[in-house]
Amino acid sequence: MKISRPFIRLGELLLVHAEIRGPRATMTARLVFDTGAAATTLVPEFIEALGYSARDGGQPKRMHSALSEEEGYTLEVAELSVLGVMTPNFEIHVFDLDRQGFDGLLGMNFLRHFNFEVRPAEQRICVELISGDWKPVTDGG
Amino acid sequence: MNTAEQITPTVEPSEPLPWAEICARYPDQYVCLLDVVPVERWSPAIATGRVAGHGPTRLDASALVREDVRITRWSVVYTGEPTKPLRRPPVFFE
Repeated sequence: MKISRPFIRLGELLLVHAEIRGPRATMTARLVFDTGAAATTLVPEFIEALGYSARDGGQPKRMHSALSEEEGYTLEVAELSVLGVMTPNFEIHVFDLDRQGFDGLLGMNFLRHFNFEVRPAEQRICVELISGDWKPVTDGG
Repeated sequence: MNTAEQITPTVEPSEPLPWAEICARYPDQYVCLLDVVPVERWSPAIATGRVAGHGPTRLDASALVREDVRITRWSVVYTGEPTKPLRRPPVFFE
């Protein structure tokens, strides 16, 4: 089954609509469709508003890059709906992206479960499920 | 009125406003929106929303809403143009 969803552009970035459920709230998010990101990532303020805290995640972990070392952590959100599919208990990374305009990155730990096609002229992304415990959604994501 | 009602702050969102009007009223800051209507179903582009808070950070904008247990669904969106480049978390954890 193929699903098609609209995106908007923020500069050269593609933003898609997502809905994320936590213990306190369900929040809509703007996520960057990011095939260059290994992990789906949300900023700490977004996670806090959902009702999570760093104590809900694993031990704080140091993330190394060539230039720096910063702390982040991982946790499972109760439900993630994006690009027309919903998955429960999805692991995301929590990291301060230090940028306005979006709430996080939709990375390859999500996208690898789909064939996908970006259609810039139509401003739509088409996805086709190839693996995983995913359900199509009719509302939200 | 019970105790919970007495201590719950009252959020008084605006009337539904077009996104352009929201940006004009609250430039270059975060706004907390209720009852968001997208320009197209499942689009991240906003047609209208009711402003329930605003401020320089996501948490400032949603402070009142987060205190109101009756509200369980909202969005926080930045009204300005981002100026910083995209950065990704490094992939290596220890």
